[in-house]
Amino acid sequence: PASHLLPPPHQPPLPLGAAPAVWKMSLAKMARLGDATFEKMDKVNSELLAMTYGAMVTTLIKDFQDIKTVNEELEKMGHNIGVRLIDEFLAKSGITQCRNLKDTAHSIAKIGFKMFLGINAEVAWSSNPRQFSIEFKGNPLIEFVELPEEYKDLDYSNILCGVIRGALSMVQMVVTTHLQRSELKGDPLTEIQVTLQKVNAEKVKGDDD
Amino acid sequence: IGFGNHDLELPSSWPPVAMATSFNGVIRAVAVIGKENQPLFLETFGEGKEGQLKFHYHIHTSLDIVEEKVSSGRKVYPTTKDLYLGQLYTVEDYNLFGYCTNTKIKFVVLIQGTQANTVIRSWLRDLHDLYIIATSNPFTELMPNKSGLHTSSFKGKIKTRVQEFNNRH
Repeated sequence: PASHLLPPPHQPPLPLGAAPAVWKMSLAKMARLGDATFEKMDKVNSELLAMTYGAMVTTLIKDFQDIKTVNEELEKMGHNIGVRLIDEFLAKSGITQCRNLKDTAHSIAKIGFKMFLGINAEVAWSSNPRQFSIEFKGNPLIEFVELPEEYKDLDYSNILCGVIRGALSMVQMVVTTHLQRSELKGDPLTEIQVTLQKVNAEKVKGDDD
Repeated sequence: IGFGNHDLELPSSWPPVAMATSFNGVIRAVAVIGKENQPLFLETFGEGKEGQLKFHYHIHTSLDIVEEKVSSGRKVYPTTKDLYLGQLYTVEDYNLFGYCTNTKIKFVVLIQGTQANTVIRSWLRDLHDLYIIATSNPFTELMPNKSGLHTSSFKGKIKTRVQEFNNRH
C-alpha cells in the first residue's frame, strides 16, 4: 500500500541542481548519491568512534546490569539521535520525496548508511510488504569488540535501530526495528529489520488523500 | 640469515646445547606481564604439569633481567624505539627472550633451542599487535581482572602463532 510521504514542512528550500525525487533514481544512482554525500561529510576517526561507543555500552552495562534494559537504553539513545539526524540527512543529500516504502528503504541503505557510517548496505525484502531489512558487513561500531558469553543477548548495535526509528518518526512513519542478525554474534552480516506500523497523516495538507 | 648448519645431518634426538648454531628453536612458553610485574597471560606448550611450573619459574626469574635491560636501555638510548630486549638468559637448553612496551607491558617467550633474533623480534612484534587488538575490546572493563587476554580468540591466535613459529622447519 503506497502512501505519499512528504518531507517535514519546515524543510529549507532546495538549492539549484538538487537531486531529483527518489523515485526517479535507479539504485545505482542512489548509491552514487550516497557516495557523493559521504564525501561532503566531516569525518571522524573510526577507532575513536568505536572506542567511545564501546566505553558507553560497557558503562551502561555496569549501571543497569540487566541486558534487556541496556538494549532498550541503546535504542532510546538511537531514537534521540535519529530525530535530529533526519534533518541533516535530508539537507545534505538533497533528496526529496519517497513515493513508497521501497524508496524509503533504499534511501536509508544507499544514502543514509553510506553518508553517516561509510557502509555499503543492502535492502532485503520478506513476504511481508510492510517489512524490509537493512543488511551490511563491516560495522564500524564493532571494531575490536568481542562479545563475552555472558552478554550474548546484548544487541550491541541497537543504537542503529533506534536511529532508524527516530528518523522515520519525523517523516510521519511509525516503525519498529529489531537487530535480527549481528556479526558480533557469529552471523555473516548484520541485519536490522524494519517493520512499518503506520503512516501518520500529514497535518498540514488541506486535501484529503 | 645464514647461521644454520645446512650441510650437517643432525639426528632428531640430538639435544640442543647452549651454543647450538642451528636455529630450530621451539616455543615452549609465552607470558604477558603487566606494569607491576603481575602475570596477565601465561601459556605453556608441549610439556606436562611439571614442565609448566618450571617454565613459570624461569619466566619469573627473567623479569629481573627485563627490569635491568629496560632501565639501562633508557639511560643509554633515551630516544630508541626498540622495544625488543633480545636474549634475557639461558638455562639448560632453554632461552628466554623479552620485549617491553612503552606502557611497561612485558612479553617473555621461552624457547627450547635457539632462534635468530630477527625472527623472535618480529614474532614478538606480532604478539604486541595481538595484545593491542585484545585490549581494545571494550568488554575488558567488565572482565574479572580487567584483562582482555582470557578470551578464547586471543588464546587461539597465540596458539596459531606459536604453531606457525614451531613449524618453521
